[in-house]
Amino acid sequence: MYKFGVLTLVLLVQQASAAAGPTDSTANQLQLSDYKRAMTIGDQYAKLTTNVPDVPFWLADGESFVYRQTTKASISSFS
Amino acid sequence: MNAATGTKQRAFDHTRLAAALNRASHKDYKADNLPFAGFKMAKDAGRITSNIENTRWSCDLVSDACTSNTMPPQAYQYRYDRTPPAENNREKTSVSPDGKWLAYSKNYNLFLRSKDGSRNIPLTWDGSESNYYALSTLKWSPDSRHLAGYRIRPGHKRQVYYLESSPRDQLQPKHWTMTYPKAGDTLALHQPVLFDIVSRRQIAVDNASFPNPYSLSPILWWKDGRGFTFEFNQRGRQLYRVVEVDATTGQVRSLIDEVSHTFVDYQPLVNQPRTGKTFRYDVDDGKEIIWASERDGYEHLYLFNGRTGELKNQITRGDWVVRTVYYVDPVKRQIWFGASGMNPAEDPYFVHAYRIDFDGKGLTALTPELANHHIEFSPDGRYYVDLWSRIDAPPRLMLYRASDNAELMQVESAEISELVAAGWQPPLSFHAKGRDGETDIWGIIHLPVNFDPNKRYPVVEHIYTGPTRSSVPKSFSAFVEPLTQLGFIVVQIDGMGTNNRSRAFHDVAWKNLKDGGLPDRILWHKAASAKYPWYDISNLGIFGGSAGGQNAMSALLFHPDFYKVAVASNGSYDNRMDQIWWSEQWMGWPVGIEYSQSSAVDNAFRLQGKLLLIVSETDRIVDPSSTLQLADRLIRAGKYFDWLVVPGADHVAPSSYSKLKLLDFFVRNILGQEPPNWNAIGSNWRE
Repeated sequence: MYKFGVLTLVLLVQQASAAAGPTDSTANQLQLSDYKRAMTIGDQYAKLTTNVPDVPFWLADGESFVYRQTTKASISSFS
Repeated sequence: MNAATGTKQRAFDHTRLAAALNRASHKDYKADNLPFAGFKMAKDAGRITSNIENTRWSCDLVSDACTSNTMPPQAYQYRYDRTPPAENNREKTSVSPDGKWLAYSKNYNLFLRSKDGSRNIPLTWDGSESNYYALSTLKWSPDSRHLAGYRIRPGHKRQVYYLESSPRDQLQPKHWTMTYPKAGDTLALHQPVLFDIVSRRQIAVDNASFPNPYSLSPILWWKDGRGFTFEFNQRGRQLYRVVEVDATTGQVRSLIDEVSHTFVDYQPLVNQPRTGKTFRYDVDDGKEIIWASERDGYEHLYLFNGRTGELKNQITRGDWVVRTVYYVDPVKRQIWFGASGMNPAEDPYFVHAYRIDFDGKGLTALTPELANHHIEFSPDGRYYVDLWSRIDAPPRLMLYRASDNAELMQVESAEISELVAAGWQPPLSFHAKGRDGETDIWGIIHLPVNFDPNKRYPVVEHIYTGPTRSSVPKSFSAFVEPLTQLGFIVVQIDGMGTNNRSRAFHDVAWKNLKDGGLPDRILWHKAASAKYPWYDISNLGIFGGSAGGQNAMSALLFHPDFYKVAVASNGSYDNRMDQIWWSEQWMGWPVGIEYSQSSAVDNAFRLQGKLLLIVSETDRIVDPSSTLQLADRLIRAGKYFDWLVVPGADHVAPSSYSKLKLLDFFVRNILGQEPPNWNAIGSNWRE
């Protein structure tokens, strides 16, 4: 996994010489922090939900089922 | 969660289990992030088993002891070559239900041994290495009077060759091969055999009713021993047949024929977006058979007379799709099933639960919430749980009693306020007419970070059109497309040729994988651009892996005026290089010119846009040589492209490194910005 924690510089991304699509977003120079967010936001967001259950599965006893859910300040637990 | 008592508790002590796993595996698993999503628990709740990577772990919850069983390398090739082996081992036996006889194989023939070992009786004499009787296929009739199985004539054992350049445990490279039949290869031939145990004689089974098989399913005896059935999947996919063999005479007859002028989607109908279309439920030992078919243009259920093979009635009917069967009650003669597309006002992919009687009457909708529902029935059919959500509505988990559809309790209700506060925004659902001007094509738009509707944003399509499934998410997820954080719109679309709509919708893929639904997708993009001023398709990008890699290449090669930049990962760029079941399922058999017409390799000379190819060195799903052959053809055609070989990686491997390469490629070629000099920054890469 790419570690952004070692980076202390906030670098401005250099302008490319070859321009491409004329969209407004090209006017905004991407920052290193943008890349960091792109690479890590999945893990960050995964920690911001609680009680999001996965698909449950039934145990052989026919009366009990188990599912995994997100929990506060952690990733998951089985109930 | 106990459905009967309504009590909820931790399924096990997570801390103790993590510690036990760590002791045994020398890993560092966390109690709050155990490395598996599912497991099996023993009936006494004292042991759980689960797969972690390629190892089967079993943990005793009382003693906190874990043991492992690593899946052997052969397990991989078993995915592709399921030919029953020749087993000449008299200690491996198949025991008759009455316990009197043990069948075994010796010198490729079948023998019977009496329980006390005093008698060894040959059943066959003509087995050989090239045409043997397969012990693992043997099935005794319930009354122990007959024994049936398959005789096997092995097919071509095509090998895929691997060179692992950078193994972690030694300096020098490793190499190995894997059995992996490809389109057009000679298959193993299975032929059913039947024996009368009392007279020790073989009863001839006429094979005229199942010529040129791609596969024959395991033998299934009727409970009264009158005969057995198997399902015949003819090579070429135009015929799928339930075959019955009379135990006394060996007489063969067809009970149900499923025919198609394109393909029969022969994989089982399962409770997933990725599903086949075959379903069979034998009522009262085969007096009736509930059967799934697309014969009227949509996946529906039918009731057959299992004795005569006559159709009694169509159970479900309409321009909607049966997506799964949850439970069948043969006493009440009712079926609980999932279906999509029944409600014209909503997304046609939303799955809802229904109940219907065998005679097609009494259709009852069970899930009123406008959402995508995932139902899991308890094994005895008394309860079901409903996990429902939408891409813009967090999930709820509800428990119901099946007999009267009574809501017993809300088990979970997700909380996402922190997620929303952090800036998460749900994708936007959008649909537009496809190439026929009539059919709605559905997709979603992942909006860029800090979205401002007064600005314009470049669009990148995330594509996967493998016809086994539909791919656009319909349920809630906190997942975010990384490109959106760099100012891109990312879209996902289910174009024609994909699964879970009408038969005609699916048929677009037939002998035509180069299509990829791209004509529908282009119209969809144009419609979105017309509706939303912020949707800029002037320099459209596309990326995908596996079948999606093939699609991304097709976009560049066959629609260069529309798609300008692509990242293709681990694609099957020529289906003659791909695994046999997939290739022949969609591209047909015998191998014809269509394979070349859909081949990115044979069409490499068409390349105009910007291309990054990513390939995993040891991809066990798609032969990595497929990517190298594409690269070779591009080079020979004088085409420029970028590429990345990930040493030692498997199919689903893109890793952080290749993920960042993908981001950079679109930043450079769509935004026109030069990404950071990662080397100068001092990147610290880890696997």
